[in-house]
Amino acid sequence: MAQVEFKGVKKSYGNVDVIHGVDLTIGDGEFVVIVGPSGCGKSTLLRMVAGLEPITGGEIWIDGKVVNKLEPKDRDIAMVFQNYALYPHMTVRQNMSYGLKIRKMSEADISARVAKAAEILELAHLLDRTPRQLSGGQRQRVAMGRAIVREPKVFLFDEPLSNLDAKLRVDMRLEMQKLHQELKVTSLYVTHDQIEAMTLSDRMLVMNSGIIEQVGTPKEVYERPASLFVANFIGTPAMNQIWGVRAGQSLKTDQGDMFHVGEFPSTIDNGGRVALGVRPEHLQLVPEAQARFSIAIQMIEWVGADAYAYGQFANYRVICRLDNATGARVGDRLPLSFDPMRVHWFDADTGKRI
Amino acid sequence: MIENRPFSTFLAHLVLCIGVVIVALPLYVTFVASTLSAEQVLQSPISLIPGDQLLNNYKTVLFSGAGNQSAQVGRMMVNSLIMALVIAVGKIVISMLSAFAIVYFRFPGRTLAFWLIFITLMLPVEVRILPTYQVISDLKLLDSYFGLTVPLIASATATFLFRQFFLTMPDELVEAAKIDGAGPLRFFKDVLFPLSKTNIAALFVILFIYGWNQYLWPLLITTQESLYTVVIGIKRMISGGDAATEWNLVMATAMLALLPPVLVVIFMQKWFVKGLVDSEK
Repeated sequence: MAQVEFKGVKKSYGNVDVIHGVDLTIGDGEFVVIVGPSGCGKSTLLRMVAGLEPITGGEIWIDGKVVNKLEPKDRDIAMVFQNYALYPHMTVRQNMSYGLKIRKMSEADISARVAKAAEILELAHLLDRTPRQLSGGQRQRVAMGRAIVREPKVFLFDEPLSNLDAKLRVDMRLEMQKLHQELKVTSLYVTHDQIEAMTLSDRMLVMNSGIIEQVGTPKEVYERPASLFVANFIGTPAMNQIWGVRAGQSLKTDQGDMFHVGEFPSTIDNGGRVALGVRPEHLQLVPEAQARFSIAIQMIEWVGADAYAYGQFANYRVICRLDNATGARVGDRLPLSFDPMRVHWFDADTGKRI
Repeated sequence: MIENRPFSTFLAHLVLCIGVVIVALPLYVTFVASTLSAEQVLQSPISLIPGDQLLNNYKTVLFSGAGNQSAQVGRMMVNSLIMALVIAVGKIVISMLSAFAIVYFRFPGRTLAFWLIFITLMLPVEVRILPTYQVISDLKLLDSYFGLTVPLIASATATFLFRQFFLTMPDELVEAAKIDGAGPLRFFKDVLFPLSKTNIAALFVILFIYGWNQYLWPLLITTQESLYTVVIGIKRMISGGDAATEWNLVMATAMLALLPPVLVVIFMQKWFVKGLVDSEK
């Protein structure tokens, strides 16, 4: 177990910078999830920790040691890959013990560790099969087993659940959580799936084109997104956004529509351009007279417990969560309001939270 | 697909049977000729029923030599076998190692090296045979197993095949091995080699037959009878001019020369097909 530190870590390929300086400390036993859209540099960051990509600038520390120049095998890490990367010709047992064998561990120790890991992951009855005889979920477990037997200081996961079907992914997610509680090993987990990020992480790190947009607990990130990008990326459906300028106590949208907001943060001057964000679940259906604005329903998505109504206000798409019992239909007008405490303000130019 | 058209089934079989006869008949005639006595074989038309000289003929060629030469076919078979095996194994080892280097290592001139190897694909043995002969003769390697085999070992085709195969290996496999602590040679031995087994088997069959059938090169490089390969031997048995050719013995030798490639194909057929068809990943 160990702490992982990033000190001004940078990565560029030739003239192209892909990671623009990351500073972060991951505590001992912490589970940190890096989430972001494809191509944001999240996997690159992970691979730099693993030693599979050279570090262009800055330092990475693992357990109080700079590892920039160390080979992967000397960093005391274990990695789980998206496509599992099991050795196809070896049995599950051989797959799991290969790394230990190279490290010249005694046979007895190896089989003890493999047995223990197999028990944790319920793989004991599969030890003599080859990967191709296993299902996707089982292969995933073997890949985890291969990491566990090493008893490394840090676990690195590169989108480990992306190749599984939806149901299995949920099961494995729960299992990963259980596993982490049991082993308490510092873990770095890369995914593009926000649900995985929210459910698994102690802290999550939202990345966008090589920059960390926000670091925080899932609750912090969801409730106080640091930028428009985070607000958009985390949460399904995405947060509603309305751009406009402050006109007294109202917001005047770019198209000229006005609605009453009430209190503005003191840093927004009259006439200042801002983006207002409000999550679909924070839009309330109110009587016509109290409505701040209204939308005509263009489409309704039923997702079991809830329904989402899609409509338009000024030029902006507005999504509103409805109770299933509402009985609203396409074409209906929805008078909407929100609690001023529940809205987010972003600087229209920088996208930063106000 | 379900089909019930008796006539086309019959026709298809008929065509196949004719094909088999066309391919098999010369082989059958060879076999029959190798069982006849020297007089019978010269009769016209040649008998299509096997004679009674089978054991005699084969014993003669294997142990006492035939025609206007004293070399035994047994000896020639051994020479051919050595040549085919050394070429097949040598080609596989060299090309696998060079493909490994080209695919997995970044070194200056890597692309150049690959293209140089690739370009040699355009130059078959016959084109470079004279310069190669010059080199071997300057090195005083004429009439040696070394001279017989080594110049034929370098193989662009096999290197290219292995390169393509290695390129289909997922990168993560290499990375997983790196994290497991396997160095390059360890990775080659524990991962790449076992995964290449079927490819190696398929290549071995092809290269063994290639080596076994070499004619021009052994003809140039060998002058001593003790180094003759069986393909050369057959040629030497057919005497031009006045001397009579013992066709029954020639045919017996031909049958013997046929045997090893056939055996290799039969025994390795399963692997051969597997190596050509599926990829074990």
